[in-house]
Amino acid sequence: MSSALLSIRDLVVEFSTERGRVRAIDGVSFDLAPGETLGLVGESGCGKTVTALAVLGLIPSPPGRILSGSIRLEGRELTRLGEREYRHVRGKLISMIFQEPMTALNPVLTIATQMTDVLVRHQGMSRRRARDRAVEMLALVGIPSPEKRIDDYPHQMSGGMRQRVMIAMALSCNPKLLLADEPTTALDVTTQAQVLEEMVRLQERFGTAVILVTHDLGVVAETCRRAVVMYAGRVVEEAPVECLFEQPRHPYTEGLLASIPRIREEKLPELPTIPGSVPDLLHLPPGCRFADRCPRADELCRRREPKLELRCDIAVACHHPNRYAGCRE
Amino acid sequence: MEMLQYALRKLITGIPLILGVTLISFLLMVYFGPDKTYDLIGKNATPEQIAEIRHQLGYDRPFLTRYLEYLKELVTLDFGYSDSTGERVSSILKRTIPISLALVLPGFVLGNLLGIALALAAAWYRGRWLDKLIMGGSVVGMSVSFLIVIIAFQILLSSNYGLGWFPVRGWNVYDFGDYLRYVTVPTLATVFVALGYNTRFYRAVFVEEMGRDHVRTARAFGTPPAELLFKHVLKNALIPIITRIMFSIPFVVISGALLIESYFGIPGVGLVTYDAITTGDQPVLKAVVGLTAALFVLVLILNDILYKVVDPRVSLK
Repeated sequence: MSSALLSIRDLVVEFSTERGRVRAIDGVSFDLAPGETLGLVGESGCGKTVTALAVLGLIPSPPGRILSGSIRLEGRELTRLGEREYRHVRGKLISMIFQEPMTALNPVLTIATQMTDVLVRHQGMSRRRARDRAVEMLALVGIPSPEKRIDDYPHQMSGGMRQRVMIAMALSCNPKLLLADEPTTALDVTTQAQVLEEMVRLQERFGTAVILVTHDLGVVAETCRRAVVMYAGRVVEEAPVECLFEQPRHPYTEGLLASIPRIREEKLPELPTIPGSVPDLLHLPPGCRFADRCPRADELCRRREPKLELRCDIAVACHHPNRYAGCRE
Repeated sequence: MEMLQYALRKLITGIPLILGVTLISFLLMVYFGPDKTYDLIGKNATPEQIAEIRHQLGYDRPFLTRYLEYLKELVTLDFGYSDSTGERVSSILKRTIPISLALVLPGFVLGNLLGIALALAAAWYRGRWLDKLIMGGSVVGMSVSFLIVIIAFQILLSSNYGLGWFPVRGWNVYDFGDYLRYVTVPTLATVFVALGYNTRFYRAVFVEEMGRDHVRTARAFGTPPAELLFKHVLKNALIPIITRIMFSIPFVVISGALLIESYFGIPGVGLVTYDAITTGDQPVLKAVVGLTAALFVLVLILNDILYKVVDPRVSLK
């Protein structure tokens, strides 16, 4: 495990709300190898974004805080870093791309200012050098005539362009890890593909590891090697992507895959969905969190919560998982 | 160049605005304002004598003529002579306006700057004890009546019962030292009264701004606190700040000056206005009302221009 770039162990993040304390993520663990792309999948509210924000130490506090667990980057514990030390991690070792390209950039500063600020801060470059580097990065993400566009304000660019700028900015300091929080969700489909492609290309070029937070399994299938499926603040399955799509082991993963709209030979009368909804995190059932929606749930499931068990590359938290299909071996 | 055109265009659109505002205020003054006739006539005046006086005062001329004359006075800044003192109105204003500005400006600037500083601190430490302390203090400041504040400051700082460091009333200013002695207590009082309102308003603006996505992005790229507050939060919050400051200028100059000047016995334009209202001194009132309207329109235009300066998204069209 020492070879992991990022190692998250038993992470618990708690938010105090008016109705009581809520564990937005509850005992999440996974590893990420250098240069690897990991998909973090699940419905909205399952704790994907909170996990990503926790890695950057950006859980809004109050009301949130990391209750326990560890996040290690190359063996260095991040949860115990002071604010000042964390600032040298953010944007330099770990960068993040956000979901909303329309609002994620500062509207009153030019792209040049925003990008050079980061480079000056983390790389100690002169402003002139930083500007050259920023232009270079913009060219890399496919912005036409970057030496002109760099003096634009964000509102002068389209959503796709702004997301490219975000990617350029995020990779400008050559970080070891890129957290991409639904980077293409707000874009239209054709732009989505382009932006995603740009991101993957640059990631390979710079050797950056990526955690791709998404609810879009199609995006995961195209870009990731491994995926972690989360449900109600917990990891329910972790597997190589091809296994996940071929033979999902957790009934929740199975349900997610079945509910992807796709072109089928026969038109279904209705798109399959997972019945019910995510449990209220304030009133969790004692057993498996998915039990109420699960076709296979029985007494055991309602009584005892299943542990995440690893077997041959695939980890699953279920009392009655699908049969192991013998992936890879 | 583009900016200059924009400013000029804004100024031209301000002209009908000034016409409208002055028309309404002149209408009110003519039909509901003071009537000098009965001050001038003797006992048992005949209708002929009354008509004679009204004719002398120009009350019998058509409204439009009188309004146009008023506009001419406004443009030339020549409002005739005060009814009560006989002094030229323009020279009264020339004497009193600088006093009022010198009196009100320090408190206004300090009240806003301190308000912004406290609000930034409160917003940064939102929910912590510093925030609660500042917000609690604001509520206390807002709850105390202006009159009490003035009297309390006068007793504590100016009277023989207190420290007795400053003059209680008046304005005998001949050099900068005098100025400081006379301006300190009024300034402290205005700052005390305005600070609570300003701080609460600015804090709300900053808290909202700090919750925005771009601030989170800035944090995610390791922006240090000072840069985050000034370059990202404050710069984006400038539009509501400018709006508040600009639109309080006319109120501060007129109403603020009126209150402070009457309590501290300072011969500024506020006191002159107050006297003109109580004695029905029409030439002075006409001047003050007209100039206030013009000031409002000017502030409005300046406000639009400043928007453009701080926010690149505001179009010049």
